[in-house]
Amino acid sequence: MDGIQKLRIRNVPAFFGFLGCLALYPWIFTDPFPRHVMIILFMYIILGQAWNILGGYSGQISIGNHIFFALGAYTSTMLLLKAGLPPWLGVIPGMIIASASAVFIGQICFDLRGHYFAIATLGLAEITAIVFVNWNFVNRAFGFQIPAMKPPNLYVQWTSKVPYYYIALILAAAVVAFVWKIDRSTLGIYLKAIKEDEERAKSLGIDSRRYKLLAFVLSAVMTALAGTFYAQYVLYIDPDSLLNLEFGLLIIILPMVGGMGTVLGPVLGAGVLIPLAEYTRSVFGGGGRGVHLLLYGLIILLIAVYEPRGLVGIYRRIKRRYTKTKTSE
Amino acid sequence: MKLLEIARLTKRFGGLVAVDQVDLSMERGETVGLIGPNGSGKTTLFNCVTGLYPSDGGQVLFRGEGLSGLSPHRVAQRGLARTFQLARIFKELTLYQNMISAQRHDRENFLRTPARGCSPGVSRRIESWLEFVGLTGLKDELAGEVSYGQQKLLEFAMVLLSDPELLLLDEPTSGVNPIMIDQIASLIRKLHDQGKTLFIIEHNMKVVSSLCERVFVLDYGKKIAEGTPAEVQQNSRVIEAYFGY
Repeated sequence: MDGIQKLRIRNVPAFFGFLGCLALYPWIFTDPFPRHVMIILFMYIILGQAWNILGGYSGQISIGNHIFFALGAYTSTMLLLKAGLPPWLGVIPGMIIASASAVFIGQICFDLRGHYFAIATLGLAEITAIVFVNWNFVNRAFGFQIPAMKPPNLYVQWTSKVPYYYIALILAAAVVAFVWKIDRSTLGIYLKAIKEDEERAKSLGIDSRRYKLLAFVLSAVMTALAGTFYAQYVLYIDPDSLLNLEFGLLIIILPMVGGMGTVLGPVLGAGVLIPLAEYTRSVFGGGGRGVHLLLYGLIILLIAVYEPRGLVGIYRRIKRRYTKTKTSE
Repeated sequence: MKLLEIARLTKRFGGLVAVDQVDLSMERGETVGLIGPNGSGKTTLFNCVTGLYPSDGGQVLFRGEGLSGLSPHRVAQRGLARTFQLARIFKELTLYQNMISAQRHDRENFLRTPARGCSPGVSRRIESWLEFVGLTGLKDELAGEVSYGQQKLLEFAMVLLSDPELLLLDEPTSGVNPIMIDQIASLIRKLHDQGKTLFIIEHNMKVVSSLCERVFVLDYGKKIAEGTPAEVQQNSRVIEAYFGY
């Protein structure tokens, strides 16, 4: 009995059961579009969880995580195009560069309190975008297009969406399991303590700066990994698609709407908002391209006003009310 | 060598001198009180000692080693623990998780302990300190949902977990009912009997008299008296500071 949330016995089989259902999805939905929606959804689960480790658990709100996405995508792509390095390997230098950048940014910016840190990361992202657009080494605004390469299994590119689906599913599941592990661990306790009252945590002897850097590195590495995946999925990268502000904001909106600092938050946030965006886009066609933004705005408003703890908070509220009525009978 | 030596400690906030060239010291095993009217610089002194504020002059020696310029977590890792005037615990965590956050942080491998979780030794100590303060039954409750008195007791248990050499207690009996005051006072007495060194800020003179062997008095940042509780209560400067005449 150690008080740390014990592995709720029903959770693990449920998790794998759910994964099993997801594994069957491409066999039920054989059109490319539903598969695409899920692939994008899985990618945003990874991005959201990565952000969640830094923002939801340790409390440092970063609006610049897409920098690491770009670093991952560009590193693996350039190594592929210039050195023939398969993306399976190329993803590693991307993650290394991302973690070095995270340490660098963190050392400089962690002294900034709260909102100023968010502004600083936002500024850094914008600077990175401008640098990339003007830098010959990364092909400026043209970016890189990845040509067809054989064999597909070596170079991580397929005509069918199915292999992408399973890779994305496995990565998303692994990331969720990883955050789950952190949430239950002593590291999770330290991060939550730092988030709630950093001064108090330090007064107890916790080196908050080091733990926040660790969270930042983990966040950057996972984001870079998603970047490499994206590059291989879309086979075209440029500063505009990877470093634009809307993307950076989406990365933080999804876990916030879902529930910061929880394991399920980023999953629910992505699970609700991504299909919403993709399907309104396809239903309303060209004229309705921005409809999802209206809906996003409305949802964010409602969440911020009525349940800042996000969808997870709503679920917990309902559960509490349900158990209360049960016990009062 | 004295356990704690503070020499000419000074802290300014702009034009206000909150701590003014204060000298004080204590030996191992003593229970020393720090009293003075509100605003006399007691908590500021604590904050300078523990590294929460950088000082503007003087030095603090703990076991002969300087603490100036150290970050609060380094000070804590050296064996100095501190409670706050308003109990500061982590409301989003359970009592047990709060205790986990308070374990000894100096010898740990930065990555190993957080990943591995609680060693059985630490678990045992957590259980025993929770029992010491009488909170065993609430260990899985969220700290934000227990009473303020219980939060104060939790904070006690937390700062004791790492087995600090010096305990700085900031108004340990404030904000709680009289029964709780007695409970906390007897806990402090037990700690003294166990040989712990305690430095206590207090307003409750009954508690000070019954627990402290020596007392320092601050007024407007300056030390104006020191001595036994009895001596200090009869010191005319102290009476003037508290009552104005």
